[in-house]
Amino acid sequence: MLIGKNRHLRRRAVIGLLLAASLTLLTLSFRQGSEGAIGAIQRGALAITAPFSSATTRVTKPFVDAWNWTSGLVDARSENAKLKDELARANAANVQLNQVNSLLTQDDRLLHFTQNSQIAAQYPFVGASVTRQVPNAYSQTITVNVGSAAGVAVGDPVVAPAGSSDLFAGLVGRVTTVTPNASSVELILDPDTAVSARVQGGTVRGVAVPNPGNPGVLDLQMVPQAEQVRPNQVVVTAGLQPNRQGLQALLPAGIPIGLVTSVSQSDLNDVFKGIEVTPFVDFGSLDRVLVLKVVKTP
Amino acid sequence: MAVFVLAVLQLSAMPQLIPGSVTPDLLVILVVTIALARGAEAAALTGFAAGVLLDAMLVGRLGLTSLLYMAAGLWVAYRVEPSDSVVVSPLSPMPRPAVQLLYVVVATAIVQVGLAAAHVLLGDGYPVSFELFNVIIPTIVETAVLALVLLPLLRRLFPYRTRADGYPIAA
Repeated sequence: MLIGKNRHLRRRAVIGLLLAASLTLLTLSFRQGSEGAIGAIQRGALAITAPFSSATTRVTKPFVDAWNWTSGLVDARSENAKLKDELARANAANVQLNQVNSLLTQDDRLLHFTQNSQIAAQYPFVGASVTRQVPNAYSQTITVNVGSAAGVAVGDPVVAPAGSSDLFAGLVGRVTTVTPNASSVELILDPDTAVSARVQGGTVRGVAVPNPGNPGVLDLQMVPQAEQVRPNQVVVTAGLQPNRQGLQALLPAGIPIGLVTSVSQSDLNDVFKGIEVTPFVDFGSLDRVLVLKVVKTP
Repeated sequence: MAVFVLAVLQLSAMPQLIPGSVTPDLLVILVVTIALARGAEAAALTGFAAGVLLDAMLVGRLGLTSLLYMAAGLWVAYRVEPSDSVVVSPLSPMPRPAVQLLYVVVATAIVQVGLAAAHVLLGDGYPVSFELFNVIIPTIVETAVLALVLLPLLRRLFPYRTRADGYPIAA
């Protein structure tokens, strides 16, 4: 019991002393600030602990650096994924933009064609978009989104932007089937198609038919050996008048077809020249076309 | 020695290792451990030394943190010590780890609220909401998390002594 009482007293004394010491230090701290005994204690504590603090910092720094590096790597990964997403979106937007730009360029060229071409001045026309293209060895047709409701009739010629040519547009083909809101167009590359054509600026006439051995190129056939034809001459449709064989042409005169790219004479005994014509139109990327309403609808 | 090591760690290592504007209070974990293992006198002594060292290293108001650490240590010690009129087993068990963690949380709250109140009374404190959400609660949470690791280590360093030999136990 006595031991317990003594212990109690000792405890109270110790705690009281510590409380008094704390309060004294606090009071001195307020009165002296960083001067005097308090300042000395603080400077001493700093001096003693500084080397240990420095050592601790040196020890922990590699871990901190490793942590920062790891978290940075994680951040870099997530940022990389985010940037990839943004790049994919930007690429998609770029593709759309290029597509719109391409369509605008095509529209622009068709507009120039309608403003500068005599053929466009002679006939009414309607713009259309290609909705379907079925190119194969046996059938070269496209479907456009205008039909009889827009005044389109079977036999109407269809032109499309002509790449880099100054003529702005070139012959694509002829309407073969018409529904109220769509039309099927047989391309001049179709094996069953033949177009009465002439070399611009001269009297040379012939028939442009697809070259069976060279897809995308036309042969200007039935041009006599005596005629003078040179490469880079423009070939246009010959007109509605009957040709030498007495066949009625189906397309009006003056629609650009293509450029003469080669003239050959394989055999002196051959009656006709061999003339290759490269169409102005890129048939692989048909988007916008113009239907010339040549055929009068009842 | 433990006070010195933990004070250096608290002020040098923790700010680097723990992200955020506050650091866990390692010394309060030590004070609570001492209070649980060695009783009120040792807790008061440890709290005083820890507070003085911390204030000195921070060039702060010497004695303020000492008072708060002592208050926290004494509160824990008196919570676990048997009163004079209660008969307890000579081998009074150490509180369970969850209870020890709770003591750490409450002790940290005592110290942090005390510091915030002192700063407010002295006119150099921040608004109460800022102190609460940006200082007091984050410090309590970080200290509690670190106590999960540090408490078992400190218990090994300061093994539990039965209080049957020294404390008054009624017949």
